[in-house]
Formats: sequence, structure tokens, C-alpha cells
Amino acid sequence: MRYLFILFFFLNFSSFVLAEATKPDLVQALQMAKQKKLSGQRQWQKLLHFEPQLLGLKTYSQIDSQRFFLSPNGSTDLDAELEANIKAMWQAPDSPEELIPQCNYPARYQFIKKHLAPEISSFPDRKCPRFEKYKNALQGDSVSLVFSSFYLNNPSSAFGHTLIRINKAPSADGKRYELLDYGLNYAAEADTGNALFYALKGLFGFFPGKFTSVPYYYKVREYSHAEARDLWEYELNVNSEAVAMMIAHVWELGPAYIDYWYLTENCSYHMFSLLEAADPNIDIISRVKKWVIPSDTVKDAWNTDGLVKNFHYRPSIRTEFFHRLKALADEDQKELKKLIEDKKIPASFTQKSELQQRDILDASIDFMDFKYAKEVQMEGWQKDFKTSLLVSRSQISLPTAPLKISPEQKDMPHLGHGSRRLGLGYLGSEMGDDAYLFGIKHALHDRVDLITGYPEYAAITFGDFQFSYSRLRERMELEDFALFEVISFSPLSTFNKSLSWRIKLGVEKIEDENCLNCHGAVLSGGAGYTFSLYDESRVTLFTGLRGAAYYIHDQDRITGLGPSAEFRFRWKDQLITTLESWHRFNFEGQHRSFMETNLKTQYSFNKSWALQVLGTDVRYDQKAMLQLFYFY
Amino acid sequence: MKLTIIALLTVFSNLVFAKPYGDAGCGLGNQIFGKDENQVLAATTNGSSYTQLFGILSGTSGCVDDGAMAQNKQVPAFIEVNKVALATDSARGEGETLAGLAQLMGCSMNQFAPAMKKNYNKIFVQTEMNPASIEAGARSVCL
Repeated sequence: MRYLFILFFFLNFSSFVLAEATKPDLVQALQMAKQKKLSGQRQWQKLLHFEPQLLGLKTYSQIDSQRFFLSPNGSTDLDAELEANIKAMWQAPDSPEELIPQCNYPARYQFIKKHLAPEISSFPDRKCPRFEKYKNALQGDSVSLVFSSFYLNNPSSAFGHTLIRINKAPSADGKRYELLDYGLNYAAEADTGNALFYALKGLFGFFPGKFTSVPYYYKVREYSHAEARDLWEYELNVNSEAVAMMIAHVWELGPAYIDYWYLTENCSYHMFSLLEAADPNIDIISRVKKWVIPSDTVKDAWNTDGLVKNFHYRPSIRTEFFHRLKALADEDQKELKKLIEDKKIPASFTQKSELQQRDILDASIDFMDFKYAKEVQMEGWQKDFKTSLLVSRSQISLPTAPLKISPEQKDMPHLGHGSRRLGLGYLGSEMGDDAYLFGIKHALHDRVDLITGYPEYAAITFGDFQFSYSRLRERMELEDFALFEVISFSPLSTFNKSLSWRIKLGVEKIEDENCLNCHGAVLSGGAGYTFSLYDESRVTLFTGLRGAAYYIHDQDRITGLGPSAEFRFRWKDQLITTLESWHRFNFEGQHRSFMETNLKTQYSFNKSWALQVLGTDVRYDQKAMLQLFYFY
Repeated sequence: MKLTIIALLTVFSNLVFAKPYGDAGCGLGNQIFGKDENQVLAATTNGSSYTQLFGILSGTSGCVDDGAMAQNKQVPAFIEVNKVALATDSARGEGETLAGLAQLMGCSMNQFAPAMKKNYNKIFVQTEMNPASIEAGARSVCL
């Protein structure tokens, strides 16, 4: 019975299509589209996400779901897809909405309509209540690119994240309520919790990527509160027509999926593909590097003439807390510390002035939210304590001291150095094995690099190759390769007790009795604490344990563990020195004790050029290296 | 002609057989906050809150309607997701989250904020932060 009904439906439907096909409007529309070469328009290509692929040899669509196309050849043939769209739209039924291509592909319809309007008088407009409702919910007036800062606790967020915010117009009172805006996000639908599979699948495009729209408050709660990441919101210079196109286009993309490539076609890349589809005058994908690092795309947007109107900084709950803390007098800071340690408000608290009470309470409330973001929502002392803080706060009538946090230049991600680094240098060895050095690093930031735009406590490395050409032995060798390395040395303070840690996966040249001039795959990691010696993160000392496992071809594995320390001194933003030492005791091999000391100083002339001097002392050799780096 | 039919059939069948989103209705789930549950909200709101990573054209489950929040779920969803920040703002008597709620509920912030502060205990503590009760409390002081 059901099949009969379906058959009946389609028989009717096809006869309906047949009748419509003869309409002169359709013939005219097809003719005009051909004559005006509509399918060759840049915007048509962008709406179908046609980009050069396979090293630029072939141009076809990046969208991987067939449902995105109306022509069976739509993913490779712009003409066929345009023709199929025009035919389908001109022959569309009046309902249901799901069968009306104008409603499913409103941006394409707008595009066709706009370009054929001068010649064609009547268009097959249809009512699309579902799409209208979506549009009305978003109320797009302008668009911002939002950068969510580096988050080291999750490898997939270590390079930051970008999304687009559709901004509503100011409301009747002239104010903007950003939390009520919608964010457009592109993310991988990961189906594995296994870190290795996650990495592999992400790198090689095995996750489907999807566009979604999310109320912006979800994003603020997720990034600013749960993960304590600062947000940078760049308002873009796009007109209202482009904003409408963007909303219409993201509606088209909703049911489609695109293979998610962690390094190339990722969240940040597709924010730009969305932007280019919405506004054909914007040309930004051509600026994007082959490997798309979210923080780089912020620079790409910033450096595109006239694209960024202004930017707004949304401090995380962590940043807010530290600002409130700094504003407190010493005596009040002590009181705050005591309050947090005792986990209760002392009876003597009410003897303080209302102003002091307010400021201490406000800081302690932010502290609880930042430190125990998860716990304050569960049963436990954190929740109870925070409730008592809030109750006390609600009894003080004074409004909260306004928190004006203007970011410094050195915090601004759009002013940071490029993520890639080329190096050229010379290595002098006490043993006489001098060499020339060549290096290429794909990303991102080292502990001695110019700090502008990056977290000072961290180093994030991805795809770093160091080669040497030995003058003595006249051969090229791999000195060091880091597939992935993260160092997070956040200094301890009264209000920050977080562990410092590091992890590396790569290949290293091994030079000791166990194996001379051979290479081993290495997995190393360490943990400890970093202490601030002067001016917060300016002078720090890390101490802890570090271990490594080397896998050498044709040999046994070598594993070792031992104490490690790093002293870091920032003379000024451009001049930073680190002294690192590691004494490792191997569990296997002939020589069990291994000590390595590195003294490194780097001077950055600007965000593109830097000079580094590095001295290394291993047990029986000393080396000095001088390298010139170019960041781009 | 043939193309058109195929194309329309494709669209139709895709829409019909499209994978439904947000089956869990208004579940906050752990999608947005990571599967390892190491983030705020995810752990506390099993099944009782709002889906966030909804697809556009996601079909209609209780709260999310074609990629945007359903009209009648806007206030409850806002309160549920923002309740921690909302409590903080209410105790302080000001703030972005409180202003957002006032705007969403259509009440005047000048009057709403002090009322939320004054009734802090009643609206947030006595209700044990139950979102529906917070909403009832907020509505009772929204003029």
C-alpha cells in the first residue's frame, strides 16, 4: 500500500514536471543563464565550493555529499549543476517545502535571481516557512570572525579555533546582546575517543565535517568559562546582502558534509569558504597557507585590506579573575587567599568596609568559576562555598566594580609571528664535526620566540624538521624531527596550582655509547612545577621529572627517566634566554647515565626575523649553533 | 527532464532519510563539551538540558527547530545553559548574562536586575538551581 502510494505520488509528480517544463520562462531562463555565462561566475563556484584540488590540477567541489547537488555531475560540472538548479526551481511544486529547491538552496536561488533579474520578469518564488523561521531567528545584521585562543589541554584545540558569529542589529535600546547572537561553526563529527585514531582520522580526512548553528552563549560558556580561553571577535566589513547570503548558504550546507581535514580543510578554512560564498568580492582563501592554522587565519583576515572593521576582546573567566585580583590591595588579597583556603567566610569579614567586601567577594566568585568550572555545578563543597559567596554578595547593594580589560598589544593574536619557520645556520662541534643547519617548522611557537600573540608559558610544535650537512663526513643528516611537541610551563601562584607538563613525539639523532649517529623514534614527556622567580612569567624555573623511550632500528628499546629543569629569562619581549638541563638514567644500554644541557638565547628583530644562539653540552661533546630564523 | 526528476528525487529521499538530530530532545549531551566529559555542564546535565550542536535542517525535536532555538524554548534553554553565570550576575545585580535574559524575556533591566538580586535566595538557593524554578522566579519579578 505504501509503495503504491509512493508510485502514485511520483507518477503525478513527473507529469506535473513535464507540464511545467514547457513553460517559456524556463526556456528563457536557461538561455539567459547560458548567454550570460552564469556558471562561470565566481560566486556560483564559491556557492558550490569548487576549489582547485589535487595540487591545482583539477577544480571540483569540496563538498562530499551528493545530496548537495541537483545534477548527478554537479560536483564536477558547474554548467550541469546550474542547469539542473534552474530547471528544478522553475518546475518546483508549491509544497511541501522539502521538495522546493528554492527553499533548500536559497542562496543559489538568490544568486540566479539576481543575475537574471534584468532580463526575466517573473520568477518562481515560493514560500519557505522553515527557512524564513531560521532567518528570523538569526536576524543577521553583520558578521564577526571569532578566534578562540590556544587551548593546550586538548590537542585538537592547541592551535585555537575560529567560528563566525552572525550579529543581530542593536536592539531598540541601542544595545547589543551578543549572547543572543548565533554562531556558525564547522567541526568534525568525531566518532572515536581514542587519541591515536582521532589524530589519524583527523589528519587524513576520515571524519565528516558539518556546519552547525549554535546560540553564541553556548560558545561563550564553552570557551570563556569551561575552558578559560579568551575570545577575539573581529567584526567584518560585509554588507547586508552578503550577510543574508551567508545565512542562506549555511542553510544549504546544513545537511551536507565535507570530509574534515585537520590540517587543511578545517574549521578555519571553511569559515573563509563561507565568507567567499557570501560575498564574491572577498578574496581570502588565496591568502591562506597550505596548512591552515586558526591563529594564522586571524592574521590573514586582519591583513586583508578593508576586511576587518574593528575587534573586540572577550576575556575568559580566568583573565577576569586575575584582573580583579590585581585591583585588590595587599591586605584584601590576603583576605581573599584566606577565604579560599578556609573555604568559608570568616565572622570578621563584615568588619571590612562594604567596598572591600564587595571586591573580595567578586574576586572569589570568579576564582571559583574559573578554578572549579565543573565542580560548582555538582554537589560538593565547591558548590556550597560558591553559594555562600553569592548569598553574601547579593546582600551587598553596591554594583560590581566595572571591569575594563583592554588587551595589550602583546596579547593580540592577529599581531603574532607567522606559524611557519625556516632556519639556516652553522654548527660548530668540539669534536670537529662542524655542519651547516637547515630547518623547517610548520608550526607554531617556541619558548624563546617573540611573545606577541602567543601564550608565554607554552611551546607548541608541529612538523619541525632540522637537518645538518656535516662538513667532515660530507653528508646530510636528520638532526631532529618533532611531529608534535607541547610544553606547558605555567608558573605557580597563590591562585594557580596547575602542573607543568611536556610531551613530544618524533625522531632524534642519538649520540652516545648506546648508539652513535643513529636515529630513534622517540616518545618523551615530563611533569613538574614551574615557579615564578620575578614578575610573574618573566623569570621562571621549572623543575620536574622527564622520561623518554627511544625505539632504534635493529636495537633494543632504550628507556630512561631523570630530573630535568628549565630556567627561562625574558630580558624583554624580543630577547629571551632559556637554560635547560636533563639528567637521564637509562634502564637499558651500555651507558646508563646521560646528561644534556642547553643554553639558548634568541633575539627577534621583528615578527619575521630572529637570530638564535644555542650551546649544547652532552657528556663528551660540546656544540654551538648559530641560526637565523624566518617566520612566515 | 530526467535530470530534474533524479535531482528532485535525490533531494526528497535525502530529506526523508536524513539522519535525525537531537533525538535526545533537549539534552545538553556531551557533544559540545567533549566526549571525555572533562568540561563544565556536560557532567551535570544528563538528559535534562539542551542540545547544542544541532545541524541546520535538523528536524524538530522539542527545543531545536531547524537550526535555531524554538521560540518557546528560548528562555528555558538560556537559563539552563547559563545558570551558573546567571546566578553570579544576579548576586551582583548586573552583568551580560542577566541583561541577555532580561532582553529575551522582554523585561526592563533597570527593574529586573535589582529584583533578581533582592530575591537571590528565593530564586537560586531555595530552588537548588533548578532551571524551571529559576525561570518561574525570574518571571515573577519581570515586569
